[in-house]
Amino acid sequence: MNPIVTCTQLTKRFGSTVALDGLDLKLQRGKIIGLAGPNSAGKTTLIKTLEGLLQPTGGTVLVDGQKPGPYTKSVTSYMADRPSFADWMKVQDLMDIYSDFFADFDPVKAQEICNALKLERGSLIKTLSKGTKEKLQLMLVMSRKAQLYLLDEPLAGVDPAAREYIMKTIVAGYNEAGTVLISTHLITDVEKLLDQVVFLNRGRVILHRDTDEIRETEGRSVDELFRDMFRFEG
Amino acid sequence: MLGKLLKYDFKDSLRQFLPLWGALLAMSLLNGLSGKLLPETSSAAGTVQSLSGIVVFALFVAIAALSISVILSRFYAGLLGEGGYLYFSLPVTANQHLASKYITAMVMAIGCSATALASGFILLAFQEEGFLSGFTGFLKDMLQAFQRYPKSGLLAAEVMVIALLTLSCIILRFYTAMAIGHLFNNHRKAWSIIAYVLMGWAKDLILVLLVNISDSIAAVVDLNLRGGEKLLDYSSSFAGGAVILLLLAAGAVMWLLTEYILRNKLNLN
Repeated sequence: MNPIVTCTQLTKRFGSTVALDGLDLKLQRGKIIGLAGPNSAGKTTLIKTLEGLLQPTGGTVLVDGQKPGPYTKSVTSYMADRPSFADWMKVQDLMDIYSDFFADFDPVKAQEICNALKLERGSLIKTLSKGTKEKLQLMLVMSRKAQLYLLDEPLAGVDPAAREYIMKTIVAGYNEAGTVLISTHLITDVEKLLDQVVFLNRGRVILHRDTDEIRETEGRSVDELFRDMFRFEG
Repeated sequence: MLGKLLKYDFKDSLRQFLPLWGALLAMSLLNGLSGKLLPETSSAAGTVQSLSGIVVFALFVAIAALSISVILSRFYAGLLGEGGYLYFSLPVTANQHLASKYITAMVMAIGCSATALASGFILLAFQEEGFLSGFTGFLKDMLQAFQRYPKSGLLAAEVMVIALLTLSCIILRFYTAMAIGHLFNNHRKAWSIIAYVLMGWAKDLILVLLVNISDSIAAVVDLNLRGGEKLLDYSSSFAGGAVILLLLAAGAVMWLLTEYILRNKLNLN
C-alpha cells in the first residue's frame, strides 16, 4: 500500500530562516503517529505544508500520492494550532460548513462529541473560551472519516480533565484505515496512543520509529527518550 | 462547491449590510414623512427632519465605508488571514474561492448603490413637489427615445456594461494588490498598499499609451471616412467597444494573477 504522506527533500524557508531543511519522511496508513520536537523544530510548518497552507521552497510533498490541493483536502482532516473561526458564527454554522463541504463528515458522531464535551449547537463562537474552541475544532475534525488527520497541538489549550476524553475521542473516532499525525510537546499525555513517533529538530527528521520498539530496545519511555535527546536544545 | 461557498459568503456579508440598508431606507422614509405629516411651522417637524437628515447622511457614509471595508476584509481576513485556516482547508479550488469573494463583493456593491439610489428617490419624492410625475415623464421620454433611436438602447447597455466592468476592475485591483502583498514574509499590508499604488500608475501609463495610439487611428479613420454622422457612429461604437475590451483584459490579467498566487504561493503563517 502506498504511503499516505511522502516528503522528499522538503524545504521551507521564511526569508533567511530555514524551517524545513531537506526533510524526508514517509508515513504509512493506519497508524497514530506523534510528531515531537523542541520549539522551532518545524512541526507546525510541516503540518501546514501537508495541508497546503504553506508552499514548499524546495522538494516535494505528496498526500495520498498527490500534491496538496482540493483532492488531498477532501481526504485530510486538519486541526490548526489555534482556533480561527469567525466570531459571528455559531457551533451549528461550523457543523453546517463541514457537512456541506466534506462528504465524510458524520453529523451523528459530531452531535455525540458535542454532548460529551458540553458544546451547545447554538453557542456563538465569540462566547467560547479558548479551550472550548479547541474542543470544538477537535469535534469537527474527528467527526470525519478521513484518510489523514493532522492535529497540531490538540491538547495545548485544553484542561487536563478534558484531555483524557479528547484522547479517547481520537482513538475511538479516527478512521482505522487512516493515519493520525499529532504534533505535541505533551508526549506523556499521548504516548500510550502512539504507534510511531517522529522527532524533528531544525527542520529535519532525526528519529522515526515504532514506540514499542523504542521502549523495548531503549528500555525507556518515548517521553524519557525525548527529554534525553533534547536536554540541551533551546 | 462555488454555490456552497457563496452561501456562506452571502450569509456573512448580508449579516453586516442588511441592517444598514434597512436603516437607511427607514430613515429616508421618516425624513420624508415628517416633512409631509407634521405642520411645516412646528418645531417638532424641524427637529425630526434635521435629526433624520443627519442620520441619513451618516448612514450614506457608513454604507460607503462598510462596502469598501467588507470587500477588503472578506478577502484579506477571510482568505489570507485567520479565516484562511478554515477556508483553505476546504476541498475547493483557488478559482472557486476567488469567484465566491468576487461575486459577493459585486452584489454587495450593487446592493449599496441601489439602496443609496432608493433612499435618494424617497427623499426627493417627499421633498420635491411634482418629482414623481417628473420622474414618470422622464421614463416615458426615455422609452420613446429608445424606440425612435434604437441605437440609444445599445448605448445605454454599453454604459451599463462599462459601469459593471469598472466596478469589477476596482474590486479585482484590491484583491490583486492584497495577493501581491501576501508574497512577502513581512509587512504584507504595507506591500499591498504599494502594489495598489503601482497598479494605478501602470494603469495610467497604459491608458496614456492607448489614447495616443487611438488618436493616431482616429486621424486615419477621419481621413478615410469623411462622413459626419457615419464617423460619429463609428467612433462612438469603437470607443465603447475599446473601453469594454480594455476593462475585460485588465480584469482577466488581475484575476489570473490573483488566482495564480492563491494556488501556488499561499503562505499562511
